[in-house]
Amino acid sequence: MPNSTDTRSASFASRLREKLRSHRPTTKTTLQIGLPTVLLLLIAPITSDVTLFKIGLLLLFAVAAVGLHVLVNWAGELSLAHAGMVGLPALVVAKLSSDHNLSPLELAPIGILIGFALGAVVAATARRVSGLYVTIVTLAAGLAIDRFFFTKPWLVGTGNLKLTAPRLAGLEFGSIQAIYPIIVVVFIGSVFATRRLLDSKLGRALLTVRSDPTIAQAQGINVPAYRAAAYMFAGALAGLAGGFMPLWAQRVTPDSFPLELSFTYLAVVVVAGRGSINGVLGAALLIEGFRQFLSGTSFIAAYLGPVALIVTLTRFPGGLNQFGRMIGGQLAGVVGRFRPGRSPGDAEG
Amino acid sequence: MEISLLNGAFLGVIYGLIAIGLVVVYRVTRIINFAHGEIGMIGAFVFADLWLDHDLPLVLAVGAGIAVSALLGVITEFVVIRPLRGQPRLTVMVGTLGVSSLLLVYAVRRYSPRPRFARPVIEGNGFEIAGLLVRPVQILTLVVALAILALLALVMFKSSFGLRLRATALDSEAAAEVGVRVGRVSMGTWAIAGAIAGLSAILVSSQVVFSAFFMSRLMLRALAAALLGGLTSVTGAFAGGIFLGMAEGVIGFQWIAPGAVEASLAVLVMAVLIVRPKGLVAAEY
Repeated sequence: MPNSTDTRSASFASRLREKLRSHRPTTKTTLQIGLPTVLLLLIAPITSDVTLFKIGLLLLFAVAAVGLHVLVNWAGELSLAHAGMVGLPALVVAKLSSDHNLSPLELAPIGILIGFALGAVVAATARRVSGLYVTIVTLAAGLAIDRFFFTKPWLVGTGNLKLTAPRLAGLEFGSIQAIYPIIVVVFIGSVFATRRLLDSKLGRALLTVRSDPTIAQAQGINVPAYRAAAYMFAGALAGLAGGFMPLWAQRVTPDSFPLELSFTYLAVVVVAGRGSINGVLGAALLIEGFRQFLSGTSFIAAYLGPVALIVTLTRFPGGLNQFGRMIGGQLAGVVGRFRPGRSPGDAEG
Repeated sequence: MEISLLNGAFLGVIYGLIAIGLVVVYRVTRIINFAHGEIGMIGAFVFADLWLDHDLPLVLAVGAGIAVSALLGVITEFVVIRPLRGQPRLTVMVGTLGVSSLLLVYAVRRYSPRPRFARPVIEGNGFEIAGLLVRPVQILTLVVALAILALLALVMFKSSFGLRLRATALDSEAAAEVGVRVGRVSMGTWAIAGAIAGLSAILVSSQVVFSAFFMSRLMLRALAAALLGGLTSVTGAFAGGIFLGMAEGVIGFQWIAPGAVEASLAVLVMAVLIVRPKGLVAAEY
């Protein structure tokens, strides 16, 4: 007759097996991570260094935008301090690399800590206010970061910090082609981690806080803590993007993070709309991608970004995610119509 | 110190004047119009083109500049604000950011990003107040700002349009039910705000570096001024502008480190909002 300890052990083992099985990567997950990684890595050998550089900048921009997406579209909060949250970690990493002969690659994680701390500070200032006043308070926080830190010689030097060559564990990353896979890993890693986070208890709690803070509180959700967590998460991702910026750009100045950049980030997440991260990636490509790749003096290059922003918003106020859901719904209808064994009338039903 | 304070007060008049236009739109639509500065900037460039380059009489050139800005306000309402009615306010505000970018792109391509000469609409040697040389255009800006405040109060509280405007601001659905044409009120509001933006930009253009970005640079301070005034009070916004300008004068006098003024003002605004989350002045309807 088995004793109670054996029964407990067997039950624990079966629960553990179940847990591990549920965390085992499925084919869908492998495809979600693997396919974009392979595609992004395949771009490197077939493009010029200039194009690859722009792609890397766009990927880092998207990482920071994903953080703001969680804050705005999931938590229902707002921040106009995002440029400062990317810029300050970038400048700190660059300064430390320049002054102490340290590799910017080894220093990049410091960016996450700085971004996280900045997120906590902005959350603390935004805590007392609500609605549009959050816009102004966070704008003021961004302005304070911009005008205080970005003007200090002890942080920005004489405007052109000379960075140490990137290396990690004895390996040198001497060319843009060598650094690019790291940026791809940072991008894919942060997108996937955010996706998992939003599928978790935290994501559901944030949605409840956004739709009705009173109901959320009644359900036992600590609303101020979740609001603060959203700011800190956005700050951490901004810090991650900023921390890797010196590694990728090799030259960082305060001019790279003007206050207006915060408006661009906000425009990206609003154009993305509530819902999937895919919308953010599309919006980043639409707004920042146009700016990066079509920069020049041509008529189309100059007007395309603002016009695309206005048209997308007025045609699809729910953003690209709404557009995606609409297209997805229509495709599902078309596929349903041609599915074998169904009469044409079934699709409508 | 007195000179810094007085100089700051005149600077504050500029912030207050721009803030008045922001509040006019906010009261009715409950959104912050981020394109306000650029709408005015285009009007100022049209004015400068007509007055300085085409020798049009001053009054006609000022009228044309104001009309262009008012028209831009109406177009913004029709193309961006109206289709987004009922959407989250953040979406509408980002829409105005799109308009702002579009107008900036146009101005940079049409007039070049480089600063250009702007002649003050009223010239003269000026006079001294407490050791500060005050130029006639500064006095004119103050007089115009006060006149706009008085005119707005008159329109708001003594005309039928003002009644409809206040009703729409309080509850647009209820106003529509009792026969107020909310769309027309909204369009009228944007036209008034556009005209104020144009007039402000024309007056301010000769007091700062006149380039495509001159109003964008003032917008943040104007926004802070509007906010200090509680966002719904035009007199509060104007007073907020003067308060901000004077604070700027004092901080600039005490602390000349680069970026100190802006950083201190930002901290000041944050502190005010943390202590009084709804601004310094209560809403007025």
